[in-house]
Amino acid sequence: MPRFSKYKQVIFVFFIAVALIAAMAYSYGGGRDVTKPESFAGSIFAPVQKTLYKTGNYISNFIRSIKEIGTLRETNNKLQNEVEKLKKDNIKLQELINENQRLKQALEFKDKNSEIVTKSATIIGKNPGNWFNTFNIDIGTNEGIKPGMAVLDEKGNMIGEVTNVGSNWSKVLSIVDRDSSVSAIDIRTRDNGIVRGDSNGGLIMIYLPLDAELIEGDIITTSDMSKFPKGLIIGKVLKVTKEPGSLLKQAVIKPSADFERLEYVLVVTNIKNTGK
Amino acid sequence: MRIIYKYLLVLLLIILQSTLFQYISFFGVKPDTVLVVILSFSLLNGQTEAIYLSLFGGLFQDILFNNAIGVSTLPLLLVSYVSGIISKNVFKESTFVASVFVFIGTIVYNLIIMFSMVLMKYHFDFAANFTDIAIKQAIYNTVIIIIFYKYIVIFNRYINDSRKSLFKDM
Repeated sequence: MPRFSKYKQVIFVFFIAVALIAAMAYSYGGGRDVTKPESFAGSIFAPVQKTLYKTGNYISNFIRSIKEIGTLRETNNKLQNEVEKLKKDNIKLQELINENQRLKQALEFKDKNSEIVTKSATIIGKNPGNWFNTFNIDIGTNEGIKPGMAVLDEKGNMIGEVTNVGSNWSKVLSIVDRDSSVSAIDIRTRDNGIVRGDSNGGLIMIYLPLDAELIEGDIITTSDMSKFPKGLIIGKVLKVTKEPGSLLKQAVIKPSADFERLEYVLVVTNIKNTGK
Repeated sequence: MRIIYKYLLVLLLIILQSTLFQYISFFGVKPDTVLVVILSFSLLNGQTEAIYLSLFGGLFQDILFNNAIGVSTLPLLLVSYVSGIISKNVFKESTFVASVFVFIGTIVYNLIIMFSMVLMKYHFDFAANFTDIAIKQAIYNTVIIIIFYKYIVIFNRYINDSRKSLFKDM
């Protein structure tokens, strides 16, 4: 069959393409157990990537610090004033915490919210493409990491969720990715919504009721209605919008974490079994 | 045996792309050097090589970084395979020809990714993202190919020379 052999390669490529689409459908969504070859491939490159990523970060930090030299004195003064103010606030808060504990004991109120437990990790690489916001970290099953755990930056702001875990590496889906959605709450007004990533490294909070009273500057944290522990800071409200004719409000959220300069992260190892 | 250098180059670029090249983004868009190099080799050596290289490079990228396996392999395979076929009719070693291929190839590559994102029920604004990412990346990749294509041609000649001499010895 000369005709067949002529098109053999095209047919071959077509079948590979179909197989790839099937693989996409199968593996999409994360949370799947990573196969042995995948885990092995990842663990070979993890150390190399780690070194190179650190080098890149070092160079970029160096350039940035040169740029910042001029404003250092000014920022220092500003920060020192803020530290003084925060010290006073802290004393007040300590008293409130003590009072809270006393009252809880008096009421025999059961505190289900245990303290979050974290494991520190280093970022070893980010997604090479422009469409997906994922990054890899250098701990995996060897440290007891499981899919679905929340990932925080050094300061404790939420940045993502572990999706796939290899032996000594894991993939993390960043909250600014289009595919990410986190159940969130406004800490002042207790308005519930879902925080999604948008295309430009920002966040949108959707499914807000029309009577939601959240305003610019409110702090958004994870709510108690997801698998993540509650109270992980996500970001601040930039503006609240309502599309004409819609029964729901939306809010644009500015993430608290700086996604461009991540280096060390914390993985929250407590995870709830209920909810998504 | 020099052919292995080609695969090592692709591997090296994947690792650099995920680490050092994260810091060379312009207007929020990173170049895709893996696509540029695999496309150039497909242009120079034809479609059979396009299949091998794109499967190798694409699957490695997907396994290491992407949540859906195949999401960058599929566009890489289709784009480089088609340019491998078309390349028979053009003067391959001209930088201008290569830059046209890379410009159109990058746009098609991004369109196929957007298509697979629609299949996976991603929420995104098609038109805005197309200009925001696809066009910018196409321009960025074209600049890279204009600067580096002559070195890729030399590198490719070096690899192919060794293959010919191998056959002569036999």
